[in-house]
Amino acid sequence: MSEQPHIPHLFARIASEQDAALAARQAHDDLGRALVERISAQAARRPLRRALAGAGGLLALGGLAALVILGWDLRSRSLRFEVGATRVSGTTGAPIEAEAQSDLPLRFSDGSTVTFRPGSRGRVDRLGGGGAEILVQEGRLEAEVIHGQKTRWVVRAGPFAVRVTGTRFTVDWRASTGALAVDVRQGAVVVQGGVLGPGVPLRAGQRLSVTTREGHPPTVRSEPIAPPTPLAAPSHPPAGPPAPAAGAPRMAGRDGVARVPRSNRDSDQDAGDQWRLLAAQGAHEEALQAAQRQGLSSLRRRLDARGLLALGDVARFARAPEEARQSFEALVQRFPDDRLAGDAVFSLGRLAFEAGRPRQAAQWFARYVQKWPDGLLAEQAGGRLLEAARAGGDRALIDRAAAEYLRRHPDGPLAGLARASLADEESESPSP
Amino acid sequence: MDSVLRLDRFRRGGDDDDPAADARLAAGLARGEPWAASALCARHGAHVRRVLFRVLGKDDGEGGDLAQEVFVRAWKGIAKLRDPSALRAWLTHIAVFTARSEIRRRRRRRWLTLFDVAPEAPGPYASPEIREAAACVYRIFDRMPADERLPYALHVLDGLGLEETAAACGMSLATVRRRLDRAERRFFKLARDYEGLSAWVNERRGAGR
Repeated sequence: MSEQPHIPHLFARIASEQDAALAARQAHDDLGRALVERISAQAARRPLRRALAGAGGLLALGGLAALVILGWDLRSRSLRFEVGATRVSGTTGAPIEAEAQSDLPLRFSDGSTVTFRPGSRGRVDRLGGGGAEILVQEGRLEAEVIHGQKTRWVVRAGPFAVRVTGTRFTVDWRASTGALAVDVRQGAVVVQGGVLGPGVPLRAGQRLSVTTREGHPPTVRSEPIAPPTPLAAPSHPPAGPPAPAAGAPRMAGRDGVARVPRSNRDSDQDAGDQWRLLAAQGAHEEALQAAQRQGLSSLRRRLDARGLLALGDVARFARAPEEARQSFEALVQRFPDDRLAGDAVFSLGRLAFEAGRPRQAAQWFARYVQKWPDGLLAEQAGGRLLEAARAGGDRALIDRAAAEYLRRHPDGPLAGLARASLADEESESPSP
Repeated sequence: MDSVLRLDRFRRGGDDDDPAADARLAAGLARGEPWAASALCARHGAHVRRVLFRVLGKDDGEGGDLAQEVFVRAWKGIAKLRDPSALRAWLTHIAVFTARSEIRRRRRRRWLTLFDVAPEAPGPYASPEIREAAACVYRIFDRMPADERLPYALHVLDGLGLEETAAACGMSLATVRRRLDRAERRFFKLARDYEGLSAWVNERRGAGR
């Protein structure tokens, strides 16, 4: 470019002052929060809300009038609620406590219901036209919020806030340990606060858990929710084999650490099974060390399917993926027709993907889909097969995986991704 | 979708030379993992806002509407990103694309307005001298074709090299050279119309790059 002794200086000054103006703005958390809410709104598939967001809040005159009218109408009629089976009229600020053995439902005038599970307590802090603000002081809350144009619900638990615009979800909060778990069954929520910063959006079928251990930074985990199984509820006595399948929910216990129900049918019940005891307390690293003292190779030869699955999970949570892989492979080799072999296959796929081996991961997930098409993890395996195929760049496999996923799970969480994988989509985004 | 998020790493932001982190972030976006949206803004929010400010001349505001557009497009189109480690460059490209749409929207609004539209505020510059000069610069930009304005603003204000500018604007190197040359000629020709730039503009010594 030609030399202009002053204009380049001007350009540099302009850039410098623009940078100073941007630095003075604490905007990125706001941007993140706004983006997360916008993504959640789109994920919940609300065309009207998208139209509003896309217009930047500027509406056609008719739409504006309708919204104003509706908004005024909602604002002028705050929600009301009733408590319990006797439907006593509820008041904001009053303590709510469910008895040890029974639920305590709250029924709201818009049709939404909030249930405090046994032993839980909290209160309704605020009521508005579009929703309510509820505090969970301890325990578990289940909510089914009716979606509306102005739906705005917030469930607070410690430093966290779950922002809701129409969904079914649960919040489990343990104040003594700061452990949080949020399951979304329908719709979408955004969980903010504490270590989560501007917010984490969750869609239907997803769980977010925050666990804490003394001396360690908080751990945040997001994972798909497996369908309920008798193994999944540590607060109830295991009806069947107690060791959870890979990917099954692990709810925070009273000490805030994810619990693995203790086995009561394993072949090794003596004091040498210290690794199981430690695993049940969530001390996975210590559990793995205890198992290593016993000899992992020896354990893999003599444990039954359940024991091998538990051993693999211990290694996985203790961040020893190679040890986990060997345990899961031992299960698959020794008990190929056991239903728990499917869980091991699924975990092997996940380990391979996390290790940056998508093609190998795809093989494991494909095996699950083929051998256990009706298994508890079938939808997740199908989705992960598609993701692994995309990561591996195998076009033929992508097409097969996407088509199969849509055939089996047309409304699944990854149906959109599957359709996008198949279609020659016209997107607003330019191609790189 | 099982992931354990190390929040301290992603909230640091500004790790410009960490393609590996970008690759992981892109992978998280592609998998639809919940943490990825927040991490995307934390890591690249400042960059996207800066690009928009450079080419449009106006801060995006508290809500960051245009920056949101960029990130929503990125989130929706993540499958198109062939090189995950090039996430930042791709976001720049999307930001430029978004800015181009905004420029066209503004022009349509000016055409459709029955009365003169007051010039937009020149931005939060601290110095009055720079404020006036910047206003002139962006009025000149407004009179340039978008396909000249965008690469020129990126090149002279953001200091992007020719290849980076070409990639950001979706042009070949040869095309961006031609556009920059034309943009520079046009800029200096139009600059004569603005008293606010007289202190900065000397007579050109000749073209050439």
